Amino acid sequence: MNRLLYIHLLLATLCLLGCESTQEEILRTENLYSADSIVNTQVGQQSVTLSEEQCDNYTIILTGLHGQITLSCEEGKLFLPELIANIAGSYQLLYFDDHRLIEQQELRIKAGKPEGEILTYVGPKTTSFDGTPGTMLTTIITDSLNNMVDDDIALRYRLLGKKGRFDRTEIVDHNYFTKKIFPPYNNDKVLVGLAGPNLYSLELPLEGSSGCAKSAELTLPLLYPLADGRQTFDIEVQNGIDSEGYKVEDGSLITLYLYNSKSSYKAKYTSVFVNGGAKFTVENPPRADIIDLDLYACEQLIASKRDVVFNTAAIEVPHIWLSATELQIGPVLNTLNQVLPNGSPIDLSLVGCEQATLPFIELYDGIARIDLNEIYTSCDYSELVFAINNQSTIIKKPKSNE
Amino acid sequence: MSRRLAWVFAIAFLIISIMLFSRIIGYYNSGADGSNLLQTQLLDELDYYPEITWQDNYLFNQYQSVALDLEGRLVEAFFWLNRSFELSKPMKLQDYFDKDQYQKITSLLDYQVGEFEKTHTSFDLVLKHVSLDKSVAVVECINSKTLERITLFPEHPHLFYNTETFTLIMVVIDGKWKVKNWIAEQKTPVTWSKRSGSLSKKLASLEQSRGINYYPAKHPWSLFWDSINVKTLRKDFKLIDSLGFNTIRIFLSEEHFEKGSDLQNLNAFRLLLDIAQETGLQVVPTLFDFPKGFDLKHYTNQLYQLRNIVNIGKSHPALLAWSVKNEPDLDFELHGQEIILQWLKVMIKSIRDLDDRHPITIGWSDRQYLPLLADHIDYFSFHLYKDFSHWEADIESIRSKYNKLIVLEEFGFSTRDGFSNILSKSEKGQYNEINSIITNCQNNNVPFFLWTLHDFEDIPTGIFPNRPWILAKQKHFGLVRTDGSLKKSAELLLVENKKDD
Repeated sequence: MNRLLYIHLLLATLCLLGCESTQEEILRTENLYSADSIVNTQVGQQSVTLSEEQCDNYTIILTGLHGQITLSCEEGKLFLPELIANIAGSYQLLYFDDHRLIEQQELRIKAGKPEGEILTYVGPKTTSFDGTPGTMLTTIITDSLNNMVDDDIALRYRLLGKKGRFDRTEIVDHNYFTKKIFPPYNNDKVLVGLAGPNLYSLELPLEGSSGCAKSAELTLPLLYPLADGRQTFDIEVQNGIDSEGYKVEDGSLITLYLYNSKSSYKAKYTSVFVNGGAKFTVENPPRADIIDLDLYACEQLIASKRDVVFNTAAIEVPHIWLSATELQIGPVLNTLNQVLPNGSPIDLSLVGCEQATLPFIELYDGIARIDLNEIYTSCDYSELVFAINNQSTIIKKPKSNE
Repeated sequence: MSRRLAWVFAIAFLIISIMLFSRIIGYYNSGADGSNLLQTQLLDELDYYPEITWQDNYLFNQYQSVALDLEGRLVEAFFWLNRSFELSKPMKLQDYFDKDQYQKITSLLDYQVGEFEKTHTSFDLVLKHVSLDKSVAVVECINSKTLERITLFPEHPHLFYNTETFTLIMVVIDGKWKVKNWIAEQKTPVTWSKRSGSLSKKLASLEQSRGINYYPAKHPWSLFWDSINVKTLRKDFKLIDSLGFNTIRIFLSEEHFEKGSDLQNLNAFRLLLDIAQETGLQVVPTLFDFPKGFDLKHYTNQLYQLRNIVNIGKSHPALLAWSVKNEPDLDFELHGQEIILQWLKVMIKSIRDLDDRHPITIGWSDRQYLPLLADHIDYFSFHLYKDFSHWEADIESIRSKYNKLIVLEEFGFSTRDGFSNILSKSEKGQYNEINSIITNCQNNNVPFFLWTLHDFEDIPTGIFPNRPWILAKQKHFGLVRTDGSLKKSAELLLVENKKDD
């Protein structure tokens, strides 16, 4: 039996058997949806075919994003007003028998053939989309009635720039708009145009998404490490932005050069931008010097620091015996009166006791303490030598009564 | 004298007419759309709080401020679109849709038939594209929940609960985001979900319920949530416990939990549950007491408060069950039975979507309505203040048909009945009546909730008809007098409870 008729008869039978008005009310509020019953049509078609039973027996209401209207239906043809017939999308057909809802059906009006101007929008550049760096170009293709099209379309991309011509046709799964990401072009300006069957676009300037920063800020630590050629310090790069003011794409390469005016010292470091910033871990120069720093992206200078002073070792390394076996070194200051950084190593040696295993000693807050108790019980030394930043200090073993 | 008075009236009428006329002329000369007068009023009542989520993607993270601008415009666009179709006239549409879309919508307005109400209760948005100059954006809205009421014949409204998926092209025109193009991709009916979580534990607790409806003595009904007092709650809950009750039923008024007035009261609700737990009592909150209405325009605010309340209650050990609405059958006459049932169905589904672990009921005032929405609730509740004959047989017939627990959610007897004390029940009489119902409940396996703990000195206006004899009766249903002393019925319950211990 036809399902519609079945439902209809069932409802009637239920009520003949004395269905309570309250239960009837409930039934009416339920969605009686037929998932498999979709009516498909094309934009511009002002009628669709239904069964004669659907057509003749029920009042048919159409609902969608836009309100509700009654449709007329005759001899199995459901007539759509021109306005509805021209708007693509998903609608619902509601079948009423008097006030009772009998069935719901989906009506899909598919957009017409792509036609006319392709709307093209250039997205933010030097950013990463779904992990792919590049400039995003979005195109919206409509039919002649301004309905967005959801079709596989052969789109021809044409790029014209300094490096020549790029002309490629791609089948795109449109899904109402197409997104294409163009690779970096090192800030090369190109013109992009799109075309397809019955489709054209204006040519838009597309600036290559190079990931090239135009500017950035360099920050050095407040306390410079000493110029010993061994320790490292961090130089931070922040606010890396491109020529359009956008944050530089993650992974873009940058290079830091350190050099002195006599060209006797040169160092080069590379890093990448992450979230508009980067960090260089730099070895300090081997000797006191005045250093310049230059930061480059895409072979363009984007930031620099001049006359950064690196000082040699501490000018004075004070020490004091806390007891006959315990020696305190420091506080150790550099020539700028700065406390040497934590972790600065102290080389220790004992004259006359060269075979002894000596502890590893570092400065903390500019100070280090050495307990020589165990060492000199196994070995008798005459002098103790300690060196910080290659500057040695020799002290004699204290007398037992000191 | 009367002639002079006539002159005064004539002059006053003339002055007022001139003022009114000049204002109207001035208004239209300003170039404003005449319909704006109405729109301004409507904007004031724009009580629209859909649930909005953005899918986390690169563009959203990078362009959050753009996304928020779009969100505001898009939500308002749909509000005014729905309102336009409801009123069959364009309402602020030019502000939100570009020329082509505006023309299409306004042309469609002419075709409208019957009454139409629609609201989008949620938007799950995906930012698909933002142009370089931030003037074009593509937004996809996935499975936005919508409620659509179509009334072709008065008395027969149909509610459709759907999800809609659509894509929007938004462009900046005259400094504002507007919908340039859109397409409805899919519309799917929401299934009225069946419960998947287990309720056996909670229903077993409900079966053992000896409950009481609770308001504090000095702050009943609308005064309750403004005057929560920890000391009072502790004292009252201890008394409830000592009287042998193990469950309380409370009322969450819409006025106190709607958007804008909710935070303090949500904390108070949590506090009440904490104190109940301390005392060993379980709680059945009744939601939406004195709702603003049942039109679709109220739904988003009501769903907003529902989310807040249920999210607090669902994980609290003191929560026993949810009662969606107190005596909704009393709203049938004013709002229409179908409208109320549709509202209840949506609210029940929304509670269940949030909390699958607590049973849900509707507290019908009249037991004849118990079968309504039987498939949607987890247990039946009814109130008993009249038609005492055969109530046990009535509920037995329902139980045999639906095989669900039935709870007597309210019953009680006033010690001040009618015009004077002469006609009133004695306190002993109150006890006898209460005891009789309790005995019947126990014999018929019906858990019960007595109305109520306290007598009230004052009842806020608007709760009951303002007749002295009605108010007098309503004030004296309590087990505790207004001076705090126990009535005979409370004393006897206390003694019985001690015996049981």
